[in-house]
Amino acid sequence: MKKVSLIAHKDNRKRLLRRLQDIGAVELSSTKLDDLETLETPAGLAELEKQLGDVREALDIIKKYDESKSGFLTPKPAITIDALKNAPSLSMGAQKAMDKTRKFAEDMNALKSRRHRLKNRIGQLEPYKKFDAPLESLGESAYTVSMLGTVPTDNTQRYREICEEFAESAYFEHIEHHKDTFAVYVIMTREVDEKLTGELKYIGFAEAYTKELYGTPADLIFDFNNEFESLGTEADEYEEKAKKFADDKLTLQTMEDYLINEIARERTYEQLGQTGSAFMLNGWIVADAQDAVQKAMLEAAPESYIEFAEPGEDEMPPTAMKNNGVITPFEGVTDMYGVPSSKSVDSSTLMAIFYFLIFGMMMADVAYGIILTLGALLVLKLKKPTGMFRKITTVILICGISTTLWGAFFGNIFSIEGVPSVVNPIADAMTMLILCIGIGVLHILVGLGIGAYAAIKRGRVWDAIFDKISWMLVLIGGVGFALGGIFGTIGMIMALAGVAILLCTQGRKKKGVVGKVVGGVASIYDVTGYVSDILSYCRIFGMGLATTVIAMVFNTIAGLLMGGVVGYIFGIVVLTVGHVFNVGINTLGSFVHTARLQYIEFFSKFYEGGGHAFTPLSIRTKNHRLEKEEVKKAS
Amino acid sequence: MMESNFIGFFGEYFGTIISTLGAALAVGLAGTGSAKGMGLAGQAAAGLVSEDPDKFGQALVLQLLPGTQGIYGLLVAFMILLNNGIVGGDAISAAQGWVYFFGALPIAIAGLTSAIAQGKTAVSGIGLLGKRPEESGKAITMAIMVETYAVFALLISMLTILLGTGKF
Repeated sequence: MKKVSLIAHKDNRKRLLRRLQDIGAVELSSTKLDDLETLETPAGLAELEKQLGDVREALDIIKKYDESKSGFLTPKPAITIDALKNAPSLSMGAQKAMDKTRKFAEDMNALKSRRHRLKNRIGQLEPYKKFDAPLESLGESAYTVSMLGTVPTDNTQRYREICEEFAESAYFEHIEHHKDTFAVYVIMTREVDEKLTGELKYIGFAEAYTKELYGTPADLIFDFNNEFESLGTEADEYEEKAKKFADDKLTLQTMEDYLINEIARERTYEQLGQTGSAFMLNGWIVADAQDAVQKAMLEAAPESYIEFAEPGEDEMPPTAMKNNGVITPFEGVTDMYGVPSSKSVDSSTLMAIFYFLIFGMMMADVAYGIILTLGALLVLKLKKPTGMFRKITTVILICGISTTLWGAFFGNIFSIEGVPSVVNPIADAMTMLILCIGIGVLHILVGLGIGAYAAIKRGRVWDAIFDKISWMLVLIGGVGFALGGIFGTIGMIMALAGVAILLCTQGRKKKGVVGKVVGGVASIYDVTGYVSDILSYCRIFGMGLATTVIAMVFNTIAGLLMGGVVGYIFGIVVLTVGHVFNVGINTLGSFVHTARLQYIEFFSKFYEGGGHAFTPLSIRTKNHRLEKEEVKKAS
Repeated sequence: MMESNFIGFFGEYFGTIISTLGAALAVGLAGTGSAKGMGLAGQAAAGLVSEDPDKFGQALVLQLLPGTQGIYGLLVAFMILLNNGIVGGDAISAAQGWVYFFGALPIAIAGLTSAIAQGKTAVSGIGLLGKRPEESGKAITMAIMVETYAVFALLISMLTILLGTGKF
């Protein structure tokens, strides 16, 4: 990583940032100088963000009704950088599409709320279905007042009392029970109106709302229901038409990707510093990219001052790992744990080797390995994935090879019995356990070795010896001791030397003699940690057994079924489904358990986290695969 | 007469019967744990997917993790049934039956408890996935931590059965 600083005239600002985004090699960092104000956010940003919001809203609606088939293996459409930059030429079409979807959404909402209202009205009229006079006859007349309403069933007794009390001046008609109320029709002389209504309300009488309703309740309900149904059909037709919106999906998606990049670039303004006529930019680049970055910068802003520098002691540059094509995918596994500090050692290669070994041991089947490799190859060819997905798929592709090799070693082909093997894990369980633990010890030793190397690289040789090499001595000595014979003696001496170093040094950061002694002695208890780390590798055997025995289960069941034509058919079905299931569940299991051994047992010996991934200002797409211009020209 | 017949019958097949009980416990208890764990995680996953259908794949992986204990139980049960005269092999001695029975216990017990605990971790992991989808790898790792003990139980169960066959 190198630091880059640039000072140039403001006129070149836009062009320079565009150019930097194109080459995608500079991560901008904030320019904070006390007497330099940072540039305010450009006014256009809010407009761009609003546009993006609109586009996404339209895409959400389209997605809801999109019926175009897009399976797991369908790749994202390809786009060139030029085509992406030309997206504004699509804005007319995009605007039309957005208007269409917005109108559709509004209309749909209106339809829905109308239907909702109708449903409510039907519900309100339901209790009076049997009332056979038109509703407009209700209300006040010259001498009488009439109304419909409901009374809670609980108050039936009191309702009867009211009926009796007003028998002379009012007429009550009981219409129908409805849930826990009953509907009544009341007609009374105007004189008692106030009093009677008051008493009725007191027992929970709820008057029906009948204004602007004409006809009998039954007729009204019938009409409302018809309208409700026809609105439903209308909504269905509408939604049917909405499926056509998918035609504009690609336009809008291109628009979305375009806007995302515009916004990303405009946002970087916040990180620039400015004076009246010049601006200043700070950033990080990968050391190798220096010449290319300088060239691009000078092209965009010929009269600029550019400076490259090594990062300072107290600065924390972003992390960019550089590995060859086989190792790079395994960086994905590390990134799932956390981006390592840029100052730590890149352990990707060693991690990848152990990942390869351990994954293969867990799956360990010649046929499964071939299935994994071919399957991953197929996914890469058809889906053309990018980013993390691509990395993980490639890891599985590579680990398929390891699975095949270990499968041959253990004599596993679909767990068919009688395949010759170097070590048979089931018959020779002890050898298998020792093998697993051996790999574990090796893995941990390598981890400690990386830790020691990192410390030495930073000039802390004594730390390396006290903290890492001491434990390496204990572990190697322990192994030697277990082997016995001449190794036993040497091993014992090594282990004791290691313990002696630990006893003397592990308290060195504590204060006072007592603290130092206690620290040293306490560190010996870490042996339990190492023992549990090593035993943890037994899981390799456990996972291996799981793969083998699940396959055996299906083989046996199929074997029991085989007999007669029907039996063979069922047998083959059981075998196919069973082995596919086994590959699936154990790929997941092997993947995560291997990752766990890396994260917990391996990384704990040296890993320094807290880094952040190098994310240069560049062109990124959400909906497309970016196709490089060169590739297009070549083909 | 009845009594002596009964005892004679029981004695002759005691090994097969007790080891079958072990197999039943291995599948039954570990399966119960897995069902419970996957159920818990499934509820959380469905909640998350209702908000964001795109996370289905990652949520499914987290739901799947507590399911392995049931499979381990099945494996152990199957190895027993394959040797004790039910699916394969001949009727076995009482001592051999007890060995199988005790061999089944680790995965039966650890399977039951670890799958439920793992399910709960997966539920939290699904919550994490909802808030910070880029950290789903960490959620999976946390759930896998719990699985360790089921794998160890499986290992000891299988070793007991594999190495303990034919010695009694």
